Amino acid sequence: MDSFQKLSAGRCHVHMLPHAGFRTKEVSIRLHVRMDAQHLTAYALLPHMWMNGTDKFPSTRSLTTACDDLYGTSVRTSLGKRGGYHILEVSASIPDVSFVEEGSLVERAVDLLCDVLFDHSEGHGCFDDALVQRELDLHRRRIEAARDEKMSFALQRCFAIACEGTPAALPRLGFAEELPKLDAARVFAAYEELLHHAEAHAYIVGPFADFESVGSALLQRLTEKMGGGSGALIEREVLPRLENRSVREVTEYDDVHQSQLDLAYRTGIGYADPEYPQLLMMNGIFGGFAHSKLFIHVRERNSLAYTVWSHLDQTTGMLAVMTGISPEKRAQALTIIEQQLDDIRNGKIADEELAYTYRSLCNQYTVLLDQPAALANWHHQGILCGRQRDIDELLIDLERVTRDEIAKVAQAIEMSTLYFLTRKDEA
Amino acid sequence: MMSKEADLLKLTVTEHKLANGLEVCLMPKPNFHQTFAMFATKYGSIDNEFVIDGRKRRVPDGIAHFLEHKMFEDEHVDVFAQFAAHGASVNAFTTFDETAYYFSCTSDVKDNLNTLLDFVQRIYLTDENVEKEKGIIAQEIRMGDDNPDRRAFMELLAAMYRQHPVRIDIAGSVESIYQITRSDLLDCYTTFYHPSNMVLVVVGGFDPEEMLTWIEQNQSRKTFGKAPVIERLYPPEPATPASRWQEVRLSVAQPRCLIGWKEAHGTSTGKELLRQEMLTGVVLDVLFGKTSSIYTELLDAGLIDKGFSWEYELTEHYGYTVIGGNSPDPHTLADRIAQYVTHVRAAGIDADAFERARKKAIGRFVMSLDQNAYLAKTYLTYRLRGASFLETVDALTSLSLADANRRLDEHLREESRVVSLILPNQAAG
Repeated sequence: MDSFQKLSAGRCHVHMLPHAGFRTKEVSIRLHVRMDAQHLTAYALLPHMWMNGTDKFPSTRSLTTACDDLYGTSVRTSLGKRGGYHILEVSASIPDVSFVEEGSLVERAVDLLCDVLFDHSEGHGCFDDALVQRELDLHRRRIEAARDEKMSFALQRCFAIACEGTPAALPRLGFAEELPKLDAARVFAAYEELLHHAEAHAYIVGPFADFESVGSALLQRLTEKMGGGSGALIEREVLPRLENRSVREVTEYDDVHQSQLDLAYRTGIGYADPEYPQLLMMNGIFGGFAHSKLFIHVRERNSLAYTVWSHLDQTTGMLAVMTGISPEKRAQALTIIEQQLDDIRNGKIADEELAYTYRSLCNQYTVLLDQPAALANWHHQGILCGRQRDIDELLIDLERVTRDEIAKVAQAIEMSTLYFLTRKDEA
Repeated sequence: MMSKEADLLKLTVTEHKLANGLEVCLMPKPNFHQTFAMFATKYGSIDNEFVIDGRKRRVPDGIAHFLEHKMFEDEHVDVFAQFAAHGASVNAFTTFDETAYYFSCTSDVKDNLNTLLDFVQRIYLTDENVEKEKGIIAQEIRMGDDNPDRRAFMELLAAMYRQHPVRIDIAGSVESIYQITRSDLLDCYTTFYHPSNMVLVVVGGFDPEEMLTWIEQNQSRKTFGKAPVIERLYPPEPATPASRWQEVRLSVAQPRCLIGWKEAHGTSTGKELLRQEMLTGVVLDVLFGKTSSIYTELLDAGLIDKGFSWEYELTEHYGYTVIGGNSPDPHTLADRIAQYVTHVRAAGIDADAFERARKKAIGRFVMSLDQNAYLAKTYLTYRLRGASFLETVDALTSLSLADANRRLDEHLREESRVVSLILPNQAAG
């Protein structure tokens, strides 16, 4: 795996990876902060606000027009969450249109990208009073609408219940009840607070002609605005395995056509841990793929569900199973799911299951090498989990995992939460 | 065959028609780890009435999608496991006019290609395995029933079309899929899965000559009957919508509002189809994109959120524009957009905005060539519709402002406008 070149100053870091054969140049700046109930709602607003206008381009319309003028350079902002960290990102995809346009769009695009993050003063652009009020209203609707996507809503609820009491349980979008307390001045104060505390990682990947100059210009821009100081140490967020093995069952009601059954298990293993490759193999055999036990037994053999997967959260070490079923099939589905896990615990894993899972994971990770933006995500995940993993080395580790090690990982995990979203009349 | 744009874009495409009628399109990308292959038939949910052996058949709704599920069944091998054994991930989808099977892999390309071609070109149906699939597909349909965006879209098409089967959900209904029999599925398979009705697209890190030989060898091992003459029957469809307004209640926090315009007819020539898609896309981006005056106005008024978007679809037999998204006050939004379109149709399109949208479309097309899966899928869909995706830059540069104004005038007509709303039910909130 090619490695990133790095430029650093204080809390600001720029990572560069040349990648030929592409027509898209990717630049992104990611700020991460530890989530706390007091700040997180205002922080959650910021990425949605930044595209509403800068000092130079004070409206979405003028700002987007400037992007479109650069041959549709796509400038975006996003709000992410990994464990108990908020990730606020601005990114740009810049097309190589050298066949129709002389000169490079890169410098102008990077300037624009930095403006989206930094070119703001109190009361202007996106921090104009009316625009802040508009965003507060949009954000309230955003929080409300999260429950309209039943499958992802159910998984989030299950996850939040399973991580209750830890920062990882805090909601990505913040709290609706906090919104009325916010105004333009308070949100601007939060913005300044963010720049003062966050750690910044910028990524430049793709076919850039002159990496060093783009990289050092970007680092200068970051340090000018964010100043020095060191970033916060990444805290370990892996939830320990349960001592009292009791399952918390939560049923919630909605007028749905399909019920959602979601289960959370604590594995006690995170991305940085030596057992992580074993956990990846275990998850792949359990429910990560179309050859996995869950897919074969819940879907193919018993026709209970269309969707059934298991999913790993690298930060907290939570393993979640999600499936959409008919409400009356809950007990049957649960029995079959638990039976699959028991089979793994007892080492009932065929040679083919081991081989297929290893090869499927190889494919999943090797594909990332073709995708510049995915490599940036991979690297940033390493930063947030406190360990950089090399893809080639991970593949070697995966190949070494044995049936006994997988069984041992499975033996140590226990269900902590059962979440069921269903219709009232079926209760 | 190599097109001029492909040359400029540093992308070589070769197209071949094999002896059995199969079209093969190869796009090698040196230095890529991934290979993405897609094998598709020009057969989708709208092909529910056709003539086979001189006999007219009307098959249950949702059968193309049902057949897609059943193709993964094999008497001797587990298809998913075969792909997994060679490190590939496989999947499939069905649209109104296409069924596609695809894999992505980073090794053993030839083995995986054989698996793909073999599992799609061999059918194994028993009464028992057909019955077994019904529970799985019923859950897929229920999942769609709970998805407000999908419901709003399907209700919009149901309002737009009186007769044409594009008005029917791709997966059919729980009732219709329970009518499907083994013999219905076999009839559809025989009619629509002949190589002469199919296209294979492969994109990624491989040697094109070696790849072509490999595909030819695979095909030469199999015998297919004479290519059937496919006669698809579509009912005549009036130019105007069936109804102008559709409402459904669901358990949602945010109402949905989609506004659509029905094309009076489809377009059968590929070049014209691509051009009309690009032209309409530029018009819609100018009218409803984030740089439009209406976007800011609607956002300021609280009538839309930032997910407000547009899309356009055009095929041989039908075409439509859809715009919209979440709205707390969908009735006011629908009225305001109707007024705005009337105003723009009279005032005409701004020349600068038109130029900017055209440039943006060129840039977005160029970036899309880096997405192998997107490239294969889009190339293939256009190919099945007789168009070449790589002529996009040509099509975009040939457009004029006068073309855009003409398109606006002929397409976004009041009498072809339809509104579909998803409103919160009583239990919600």
